[in-house]
Amino acid sequence: MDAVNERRRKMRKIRRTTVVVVRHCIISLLALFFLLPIIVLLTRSVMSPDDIYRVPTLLFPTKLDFSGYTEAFDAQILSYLLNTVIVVAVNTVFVPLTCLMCGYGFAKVRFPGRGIAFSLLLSTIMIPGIAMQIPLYIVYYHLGLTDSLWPLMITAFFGGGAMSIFFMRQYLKGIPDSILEAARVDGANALVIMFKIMLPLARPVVVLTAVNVFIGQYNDYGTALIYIWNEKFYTLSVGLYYKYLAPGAESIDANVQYAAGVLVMVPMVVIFALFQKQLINGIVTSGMKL
Amino acid sequence: MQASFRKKGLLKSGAWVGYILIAPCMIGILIFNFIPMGLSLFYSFSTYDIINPPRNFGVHNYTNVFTNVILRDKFLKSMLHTGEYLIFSILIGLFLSFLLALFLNQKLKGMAAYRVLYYLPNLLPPVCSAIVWADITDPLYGLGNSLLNHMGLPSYTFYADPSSAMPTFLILSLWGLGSGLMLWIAQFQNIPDALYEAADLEGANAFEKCIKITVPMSTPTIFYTLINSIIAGLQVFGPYLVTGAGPDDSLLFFVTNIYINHREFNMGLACALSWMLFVVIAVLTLVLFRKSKWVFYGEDI
Repeated sequence: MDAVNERRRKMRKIRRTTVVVVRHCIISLLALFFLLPIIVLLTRSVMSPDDIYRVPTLLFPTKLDFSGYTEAFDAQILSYLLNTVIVVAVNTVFVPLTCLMCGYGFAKVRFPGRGIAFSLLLSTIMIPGIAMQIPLYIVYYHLGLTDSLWPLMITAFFGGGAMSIFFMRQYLKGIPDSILEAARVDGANALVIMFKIMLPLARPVVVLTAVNVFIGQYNDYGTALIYIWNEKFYTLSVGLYYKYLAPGAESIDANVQYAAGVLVMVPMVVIFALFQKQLINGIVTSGMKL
Repeated sequence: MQASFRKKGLLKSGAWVGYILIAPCMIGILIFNFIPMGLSLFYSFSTYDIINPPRNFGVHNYTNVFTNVILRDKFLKSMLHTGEYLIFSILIGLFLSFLLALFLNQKLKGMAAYRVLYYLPNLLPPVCSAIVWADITDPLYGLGNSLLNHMGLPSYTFYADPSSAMPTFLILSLWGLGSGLMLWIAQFQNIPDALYEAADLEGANAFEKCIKITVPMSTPTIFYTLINSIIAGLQVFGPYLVTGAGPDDSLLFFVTNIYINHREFNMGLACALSWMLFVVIAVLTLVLFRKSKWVFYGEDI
């Protein structure tokens, strides 16, 4: 009797482990599928020009060759990088600040017309980006701003858009009024309250806003394609597009293009590694609170 | 509230602080949203190339897309392609991500790390993925055909042929599935275990539990995915960095059409098309929000 039970238990255990192993296999295969573009980007960036044009196409290099990197890193890419750094830095500093300011106003200060102002702000979510960008291009053109980086930075001083202000307000609403009341009794003015009390308390959402702005600006190519027509002001996204991919671009070895791609990817990897938890929480809560 | 402001006066009540605080964003939406929309409406009723002042006022931009043969062809093509993408992206966002998330929502060692891996392609800067996919989908030398041939399948033309460009784009958009996956899994983990335990006691099978518990408890994510897919889907720009509007305009989307007209200084037409897009998005969003009673946000709200 005992022997039979023992065998049954063993069988059950084997079946359970097989299920786990099969599941792991499927999940790993899926991961491989999702990682394919990144694997290809990395492996083909270290191929020699000989390897990269071999038919049938190689997935892994026969020998490591870093000439792609040295060739990719030229004066042009440095100029694109500099423009990107300027645009991203200005946006990443000023959007969270002005966003905090507006979020504070909507969440914690009572004034007539607040509800209407907030609905007006939210209504802008429905306006498709391109519907505003083309008339704005015309305005910037007449102001002479299309010959500069300003079209990519000027909005940073105005709150950073409805969505980020909305999330900021939602978060700040959770801060108890008693804290602000106490500060006001102590004679703190709005500016002091904002920087000394709101900023530290709202740190998580301020950081998340900054990280999101960084990623959005760093990856942006749509607005840059519309506003930036002068090569001097190309950011990495549009610069590399015109250099490698656009019709009429001179043909540049694929390993050089891949190497440039890896260089462009590095800041995103760093940001993701540093702020992984906040980013994933951010994606998740944005879906829950609509 | 209003009365207390009137009694004290705006200055004394401290309300002016509020106006100063929200000034940046209110000025912002005025300058960057409402004035451009107004200007765009004005330019849409004219012929305008930026260099010369607008002229030839009338509704021709709105009527030409139906009467002028070349413009109509592009307009209809762009609508068809945007519609195809929209339907595909809604199906992917609502069904494929849902099923995949159901499968991935299990207690297995290292699951959290796997989910991060699935999300990673979303982090690739678009110009990087453009470089990668342009090379992989090269019909002669690309890795794509090399892999297909290895598996014993015939070569594919990818973006090189009008008939295969759209399927290629749709299939490659699967690599962005990870962000939707994150939403679904987070939603599933918010569903109280007690509900499933109660269903187990009553002898419900896995399918019944899914239809009667998981789906009704996930309505916020369904709603968000629907709204987001529609707003983002209508504004799809396609793989512009890889192939522009595609061979024979096979990847000409509504926004791509606007952008190309902008690039060719047909500002009046570009503005008219933008306004059409805006009206469609606004109407769809309002209808969806009006009809959103089925969304269940939990007991406490």
